[in-house]
Amino acid sequence: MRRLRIPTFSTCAASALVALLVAGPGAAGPTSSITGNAIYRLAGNGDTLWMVTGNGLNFTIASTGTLRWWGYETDKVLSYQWYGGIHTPLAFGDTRALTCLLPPDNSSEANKLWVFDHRSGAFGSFSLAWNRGNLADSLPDSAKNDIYFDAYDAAWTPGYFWVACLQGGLVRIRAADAAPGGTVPATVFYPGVDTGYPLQDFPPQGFADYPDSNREVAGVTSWADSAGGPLLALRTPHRVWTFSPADAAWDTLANALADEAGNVDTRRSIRQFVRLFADSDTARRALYAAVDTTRADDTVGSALVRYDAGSRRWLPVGSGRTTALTFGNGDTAYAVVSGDLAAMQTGATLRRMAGLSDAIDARMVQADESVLRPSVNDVLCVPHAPDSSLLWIASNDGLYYSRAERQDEETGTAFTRASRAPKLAQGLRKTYFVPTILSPDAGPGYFAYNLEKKARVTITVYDWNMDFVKTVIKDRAREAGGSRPDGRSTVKKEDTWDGTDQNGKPVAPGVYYYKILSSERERAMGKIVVAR
Amino acid sequence: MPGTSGFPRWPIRLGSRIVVPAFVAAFLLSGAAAAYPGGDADAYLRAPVGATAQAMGGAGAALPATCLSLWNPAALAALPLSTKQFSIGTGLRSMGRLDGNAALEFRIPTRIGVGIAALYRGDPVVDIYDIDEVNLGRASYSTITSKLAVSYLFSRALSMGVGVGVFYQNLPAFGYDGIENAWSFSIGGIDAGAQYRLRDTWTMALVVQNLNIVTDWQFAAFFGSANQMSAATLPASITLASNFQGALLGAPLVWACDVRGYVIDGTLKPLDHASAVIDNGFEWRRWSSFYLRCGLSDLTLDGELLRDAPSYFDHFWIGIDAGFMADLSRIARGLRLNYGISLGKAWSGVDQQIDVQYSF
Repeated sequence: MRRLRIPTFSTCAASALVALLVAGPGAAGPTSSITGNAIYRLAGNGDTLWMVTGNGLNFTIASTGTLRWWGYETDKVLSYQWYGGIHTPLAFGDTRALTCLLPPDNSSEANKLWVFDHRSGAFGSFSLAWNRGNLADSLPDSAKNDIYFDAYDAAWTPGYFWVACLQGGLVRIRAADAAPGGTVPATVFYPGVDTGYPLQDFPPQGFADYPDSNREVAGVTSWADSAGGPLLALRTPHRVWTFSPADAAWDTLANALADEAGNVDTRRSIRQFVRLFADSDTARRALYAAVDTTRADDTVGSALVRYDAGSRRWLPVGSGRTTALTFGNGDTAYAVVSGDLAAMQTGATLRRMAGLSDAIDARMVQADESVLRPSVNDVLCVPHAPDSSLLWIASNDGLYYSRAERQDEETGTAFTRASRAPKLAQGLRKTYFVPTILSPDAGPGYFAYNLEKKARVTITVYDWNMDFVKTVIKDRAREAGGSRPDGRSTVKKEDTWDGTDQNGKPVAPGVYYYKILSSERERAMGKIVVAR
Repeated sequence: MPGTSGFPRWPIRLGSRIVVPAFVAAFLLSGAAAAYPGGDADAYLRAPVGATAQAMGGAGAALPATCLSLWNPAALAALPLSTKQFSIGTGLRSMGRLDGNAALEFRIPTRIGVGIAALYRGDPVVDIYDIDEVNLGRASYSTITSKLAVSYLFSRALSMGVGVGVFYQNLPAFGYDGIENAWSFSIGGIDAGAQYRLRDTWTMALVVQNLNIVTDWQFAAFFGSANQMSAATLPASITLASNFQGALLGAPLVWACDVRGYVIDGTLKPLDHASAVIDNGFEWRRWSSFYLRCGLSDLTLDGELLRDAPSYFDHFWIGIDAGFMADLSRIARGLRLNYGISLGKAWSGVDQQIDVQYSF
């Protein structure tokens, strides 16, 4: 079996190891298992991969040759349902990762930033405290109340985290200052303003045109300048900016859209920049953007475009809603388009490589036997060898990774799935229905159970009065859980219930009871809540 | 021609030979669609209320022992004059389901009976798992149903009554940030009953319950899947009940039989799966201070029996019930203890109820 090897980067050691205290309410851990199977965002380099799941953060350090996980179960991570995908702030650099967690009271003013240090194992939270009293007196209260410093995106340059904070501009936090419980010194850089302001002094009195909806910083990504130095690319609704940390210099990129011939497109224009992707490879060095476009007849479309500095235009390189883009070795790039994985050749035009994408999709369905095909949320390519990269794929049903890029292209079968699969005791000692609450906007749930022996199984559902509702399966053959990779007997495609009775009619809201009977005289009962 | 008790014979013949068979036949032949009564909005109301009915096969609508407002409003005026009656009880059912009930009934001389009763039913311990099989903790499902009823005694034999109810349910649901509560609160559920005493030892009743009640769900937070939960109209139940006293080994033996049909919903629209449930119970009053009870409950009849008998018998169930009444007048005059136990449906365990009844 091939060992998983990822070269260890000679990462920049932190100038001071920040001793973070164990976090306050909202975090538990660490844990050695993946915290959740719904994985939203990936970040990493070298030997470290971080990921955001629905229940917390995980990271792995693979330099030992095996894949081991460390993780922290936390409050719900702040995720924005947007542009057909889920966008979650996550930045990683050095030995730390930063993300934003949704506070229990759901107040966006109380959004907390969480920093995790995988070398010390410490983690903690802090808040971006700004002074709402700094707002101009001339602003009406309604306008003041609509100004938020939400952390929409994050990026890393050596020694610093950069957080896109909407009306809060671009906020710089020195990684060494990140400490739990309280506030952190931070500096605000506002698009077009060549000086930074301490967070507590922003916005300064007399700050012209604030707030400006056209300068809400909603996305930031790390890039490299022509000399290879750190550069940040940021997006505001209608414009892309670059920011040089060295001299706090701003520049704007043109937002002209080119047609296939490279001329200014007269049929459509860029309506909004939705996501930025930076290729920092010194040979390629390119900036891509997912955009909304609009035509003369007001029809809206979406496209992936690449900035051409010579012509100062955005060249179309692909169509569809691209929510992730990562660059492998050579001329290969991987993207997430409308929830599907696509592999593409970089260059003038990105085109979907259907063969590989379809093979990966089939692999996902085969791996987890879900009734619904899992959708892809993020993808990350990590250089692995001179001619190979390791590809990580975050889906809503687990993490997939490849062991050899070339092999994946040819066969599409080399992807391995890493998922959180809680162990179930054999002999039907514990069963449950997943998810326990059937909601209107969710699909069917499945029965999680584990037989002691191979047997024929019947699953029946009853209402609160124990009146018969439906037979889910009758006398179906099932394996003992111990003989299956996920340690349970459930066949997800069949052992499901969608909240209907034997006639197909939806049942009334309430608590329902199910019974699992096997031909080997194993028996269990459990509960389901129908809230639809 | 009068019967031996002085009552005319024709109602007896009418009842036993025509009405009851016609009632049962109607349910067997009704419903174009397949049956299977489970999953209705009134599922939590269908189990018998009170330990007496629990022990007697779920039958009791003709002469209910406790919680008359929940059984048959007409029975209130048939209580002995100057009777005041209070009862409180609880039940533990299979799979952790809970019951609780309390009632107060009294006569207002000379012809009026009034009663109020409240019923709690729920499941207090439901372990919740999310889509990642993460245990989110425990939640509970609770319902409270309360009915106020009044009855009028038209003659020695005939009384009629009406009641109105309040229905509350609380259900866990997934909200934006975890588990939230969805609830429904409705006022309505009209009950109407008529009770006729054919002879001193035989009483029959006809009760229609839960007319015009809709559960409309509300949700705590603005975001949440429960905002899309469907409103549900409760099925109405029509019960033809009988309570007959005979004798066994020289001691009184009471036979209670209820035929409870679900044919229409609360807005009088036909249900797509009509059914009838037959409950039978016996009470042997061998001793004046201790009664033995038993019953056969939940014999369900529906069109499936005629259309697809094998499928019908796949899910066939008849409950076996038992219990007793103990007269505790040595402790307090008019105090009684009732206990009932049943084999749980679907072999889910046992259902038990116990209550205390105090007449003063």
